Amino acid sequence: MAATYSSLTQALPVILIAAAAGAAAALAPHLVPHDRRAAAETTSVGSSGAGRASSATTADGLRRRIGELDARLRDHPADAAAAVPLADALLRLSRATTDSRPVGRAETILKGVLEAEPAQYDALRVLGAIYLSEHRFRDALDAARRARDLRPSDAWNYGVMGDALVELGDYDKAFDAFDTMAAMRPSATVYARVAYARELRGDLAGALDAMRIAGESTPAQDAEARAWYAAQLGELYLRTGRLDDAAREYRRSAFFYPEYPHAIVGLGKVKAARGDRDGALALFLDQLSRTPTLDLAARIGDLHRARGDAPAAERYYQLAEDLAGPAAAQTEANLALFLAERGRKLPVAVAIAEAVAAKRADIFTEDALAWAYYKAGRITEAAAASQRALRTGTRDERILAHAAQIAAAMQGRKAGRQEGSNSGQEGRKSE
Amino acid sequence: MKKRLLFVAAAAALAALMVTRGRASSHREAPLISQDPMADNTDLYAFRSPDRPDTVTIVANYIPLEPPASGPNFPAFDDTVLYEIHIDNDGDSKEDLTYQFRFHTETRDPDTFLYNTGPIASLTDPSWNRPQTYTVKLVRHGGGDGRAEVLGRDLPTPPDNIGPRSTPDYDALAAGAVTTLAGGVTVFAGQRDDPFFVDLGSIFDLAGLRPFNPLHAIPLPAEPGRDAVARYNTHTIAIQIPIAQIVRAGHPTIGVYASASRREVRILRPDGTTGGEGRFVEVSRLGEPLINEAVIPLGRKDFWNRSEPEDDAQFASFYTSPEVSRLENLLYGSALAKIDVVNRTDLAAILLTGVPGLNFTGPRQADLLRLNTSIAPSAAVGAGNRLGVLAGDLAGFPNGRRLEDDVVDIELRAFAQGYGAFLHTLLGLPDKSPNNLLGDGVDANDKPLLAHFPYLASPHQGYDVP
Repeated sequence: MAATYSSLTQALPVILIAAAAGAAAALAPHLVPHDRRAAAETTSVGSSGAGRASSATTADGLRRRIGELDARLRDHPADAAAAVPLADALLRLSRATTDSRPVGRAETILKGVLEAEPAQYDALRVLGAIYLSEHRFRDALDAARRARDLRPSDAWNYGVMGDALVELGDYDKAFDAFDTMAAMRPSATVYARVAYARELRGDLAGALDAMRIAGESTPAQDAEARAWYAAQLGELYLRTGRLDDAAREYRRSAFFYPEYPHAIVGLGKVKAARGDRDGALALFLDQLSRTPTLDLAARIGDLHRARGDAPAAERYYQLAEDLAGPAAAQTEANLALFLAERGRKLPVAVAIAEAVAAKRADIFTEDALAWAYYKAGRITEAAAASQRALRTGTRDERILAHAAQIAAAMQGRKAGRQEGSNSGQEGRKSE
Repeated sequence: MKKRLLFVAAAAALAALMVTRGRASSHREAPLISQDPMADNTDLYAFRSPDRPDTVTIVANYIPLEPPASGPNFPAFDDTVLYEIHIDNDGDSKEDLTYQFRFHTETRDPDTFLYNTGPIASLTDPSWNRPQTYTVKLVRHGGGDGRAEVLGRDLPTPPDNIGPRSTPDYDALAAGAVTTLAGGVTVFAGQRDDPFFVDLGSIFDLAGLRPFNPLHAIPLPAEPGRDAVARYNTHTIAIQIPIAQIVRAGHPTIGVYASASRREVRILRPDGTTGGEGRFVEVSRLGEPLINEAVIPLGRKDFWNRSEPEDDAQFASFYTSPEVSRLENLLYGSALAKIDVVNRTDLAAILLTGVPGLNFTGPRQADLLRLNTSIAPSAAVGAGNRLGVLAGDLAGFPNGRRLEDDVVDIELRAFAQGYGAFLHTLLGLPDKSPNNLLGDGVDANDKPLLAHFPYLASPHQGYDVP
């Protein structure tokens, strides 16, 4: 459940079109935060909280800069010295305003440069990051590999490659890329990637170590990054059941960066874990008004349901669906998982999960696929997908819980077959 | 007790305001560049101490452009970084002595995230919640056994200079953090005023030099230079060492560089235990000033930073065909005498092997700050000629580097082959005119230097700065 992977997006801030997932999706359905789990969780780095603060200052500054560079580019259309900073500024404008349209322009501009000069290194380097932000992981990987071939000594390219490979589920190659990056140029951005890789492999203690170093390596001036790392430590503590430590890190996060979405949602999760439903609900509702996301709406719905308020739960579940955008536009399986977990629109859940899984084989997509199959009564397929979701040795509670239920259903099915009955009903039980 | 709680509450409220206001700044950073200021060498100085001429003072600064009002997250050294000052004393461009600095931050009150919860009256004041101490080790390479000797442990650093309420007697705090170690070595580590001075705003606007604005390819009215580093602080590691401890008989010239290294943390931990114990990888180094900025091309900086100085021959072409000289021709071509942009063996010699007869260390090319320790200080601290050797002041840059040396103007002239009459006469170096007058118009630091170690001025106070 932890949004640890957004560490990678934090690490390469440019790859992130930050925004509340919902807000971004509403603006451009094809664009939701890079990290599936960040989307499922809350918001991404540079969330709308920061976006609001900066839109009056930074965004204006960026727009001015974009205007100047635009003018230069009009005179010299293939001028890489203007095009690359322009693409970079457009990417950052997207991040600061939660509007994804500038990214599309950035891509067009960089492609123009690369058409005139296919080996223009800086353009290629930024293009990989832009593809990542657009969830075009194969394109990102291609661009990063070409950039790597042009300049093997630039550690950055291994970060883009690794990020794309992680999203695609090609973990061995991804981890190699991260280790290469670590050997070339250790930094907070690398440590965060190492932390996530260790977490994927089920090494939570190691993940905590690396994330702690990432936080310590982050400059005091970058309050947002510090807040981000503190929140990630909170997530890892939460997952290891150390609620006091988790609460402390979330508070630290909010100290570095008041109203930081990761911190507020994290504090809400600690409250929920301690049984303080009302306290959690208050924090989640407050945050939802600032950063409307599928995850927050779903959590609020769950809390209402737990209090026995079915109509309120349904309202928020519907909101969660709306925030995710149209089913056909999903590049993440988090909507499928949401639907499957709440027993809603199961055929849609299966369709989304299958469509996403056709493009990527990361363990979270496999888990969503497994759970959608399971809820739809397709136990054999669920078991196969579940096995794939377990392949890194993850100790993700949700994946493990799903796997256990699916395994039990397989057992039951075998036993049932022997007894001539059908225990597939098991799968209908809501979580 | 209640009073103290009130104080904390007020401080927290204030802190919240400051963060809110500071928010935008993290988004102003170039998102493609991985910012790592705590492992970023900003400047290196090495000079014979005017007040203790039997010693050499080496100053290695880290963390660029610290705004004084930077609470609540005040800058500090990074506990996870290995800071080093390396000395080559036999001319082979390999370090013979390495002084290592590792920091440790303590949290005195785990119940608060604040830097301090009351005035910091002394270095042991319990209301200073985040004191940082450090350990100094000396590694003797080559002839020595290669093991690290601990010169000092748990040495104090001063807090950052916050304001009249938090750090009322700052100079006393800073003075208390100057430590004398066995053997007469003196050390200091902590925040100081950044002694560097340069007109970054104009130089990064198409290599503009305000006093020469009318002569630029895109002319503007002339105006005085503006010191972009004025009112900014940095974090300083300063060490003063008896000359006898660092030179080798017959080799009065030492080569110095400073570095910062980070642990390589791998995904699979070797023994399945706690991580963070991988080897150190050098991520930043600094010998001569402005090399990383002005000589090494953008895409090679990571590689350059993790390369050893002894292998710097591989970068020699960037010295002999310098980009800066090309730019000077391009942007000031109508006003300057034509500058050679190839075969600039003068630059390679001065910056990679030392000036013959002054601080030449041998044919091996390496980016080291070379100091001939047999040349006595020529003036009190801050009173040397800012143009150093160009003006005939042999105790200044490029013979080591003093805090007052105007390395920007010196290098601008050197790259433009305007070496001045002194070096023209002495070594036959070109003295093209008016290239020998170039400069950014910023000639000195914004704060006077101290007459005694660590010489750098006290940091600007957050409270004082707009």
